[in-house]
Amino acid sequence: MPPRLPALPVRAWCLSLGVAVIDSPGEQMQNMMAEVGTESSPYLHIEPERYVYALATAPTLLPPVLEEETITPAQPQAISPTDYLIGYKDAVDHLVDKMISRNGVTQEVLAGVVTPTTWNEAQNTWGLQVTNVVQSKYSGKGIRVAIMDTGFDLGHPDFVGRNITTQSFVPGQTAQDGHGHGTHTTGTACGPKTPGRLPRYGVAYGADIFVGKVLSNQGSGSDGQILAGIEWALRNKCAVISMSLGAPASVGQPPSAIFEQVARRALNLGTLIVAAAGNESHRPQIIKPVGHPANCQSIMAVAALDQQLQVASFSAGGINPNGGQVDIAAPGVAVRSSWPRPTLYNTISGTSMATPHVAGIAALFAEAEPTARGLALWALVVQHARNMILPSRDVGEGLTQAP
Amino acid sequence: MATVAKVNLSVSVKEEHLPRFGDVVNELKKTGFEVEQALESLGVVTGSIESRRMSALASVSGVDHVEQSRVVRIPPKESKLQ
Repeated sequence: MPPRLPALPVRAWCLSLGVAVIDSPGEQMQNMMAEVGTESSPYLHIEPERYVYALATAPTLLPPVLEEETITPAQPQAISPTDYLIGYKDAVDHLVDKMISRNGVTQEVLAGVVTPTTWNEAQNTWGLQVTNVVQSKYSGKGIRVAIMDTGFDLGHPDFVGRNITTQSFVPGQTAQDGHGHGTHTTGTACGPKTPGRLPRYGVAYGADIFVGKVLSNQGSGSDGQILAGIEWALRNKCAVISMSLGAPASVGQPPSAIFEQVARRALNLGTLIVAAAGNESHRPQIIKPVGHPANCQSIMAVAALDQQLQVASFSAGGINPNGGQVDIAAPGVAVRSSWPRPTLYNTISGTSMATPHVAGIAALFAEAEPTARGLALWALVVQHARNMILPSRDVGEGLTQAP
Repeated sequence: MATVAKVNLSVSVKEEHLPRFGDVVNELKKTGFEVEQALESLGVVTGSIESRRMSALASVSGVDHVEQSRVVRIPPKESKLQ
């Protein structure tokens, strides 16, 4: 039974939403507006009723109220949808101009967040700053993150005391990293909160690390080795698999049906696979499609952003009509992370560097929401990405953000 | 003596045949397929076969997709773009 409202001209009730549509209540309006939101008032919000239109026909359609009723002073002046849209655009333009130029200094704007044009990396890498990892209270504690790469420098001083499980899928080679790539990506995904030398460079400093060597020390690997690595990670109940690897795809080339099947099975089993979109582009002239296996629908494809939060020149785009979209973007230029001894640290670029940012952040979300795994974890990660004023072809849902 | 052209493949097993994964692997072997990995939890078998025998694979009961194995490569360690 709807509660009794004091003699209001109720046109419609929706009990499950707790919303009523009423005709203009005349003199009672002032009392209602004064009361709304107070302790004694039953009303939470009062809003004028809007009219919506199918966009294709909007310019020729006028609000029905004009045809049926006279306009009283209490009602807003009805205007044509075109005028409304033009006015809205002017307001947005004005707001953007105001935000872009503040105190005479031009600054980058990211959906309301002002980003510095130069970064102070004394304490934290720019990547950890812009993804909000620094503010996060989560560490990925108790979450298993698998990194499929060239292995890891198991003697790196920054990782003493961490839970690290290793397996090599490269015949004749151990999981010890003889290249550097794997040590770097593992560092970004799971590096320590307090490294031996600042800045901090790792996201999920509390995660359990699973190092799957699927790429040789020379930097190559086969589908078979990668698939074996994925199976190992699944059997070890890893919530996230980070794959900073790929092979170029051509326009029109469909994604691997086998990798798609595997990735979907992984999602069903509670494992999210994140992969690099690819580095083949030479923007702005040349944009290459997302490569294999990131082009699979069930694999989260990560694009790279530079320090001005523009799409990195090498970053692939979702230009393939046969699938292969970019799902999300992350810092991928001048990314500092761990490197095999004796060098210890290195700063490099690539969608390979963007990918472990997302993987580490996924681990933070996995810790924050213990029941969210597989597709549910995917949803959490993309829902919290920050909107960018860049094409989704290039950045997907936007810049990844930590919980 | 001429070398035999072999091709590296990944083979996926249909969902409904997963309970008899082992049998499917054995039947693949009978076609001349040399198994490298039998990944039961993925439902995928990887290996190699003489290219002239490839067509026999599709007729093995339970085989879903057959794909040539790709090689992925990353730049050398000195490269600043990885």
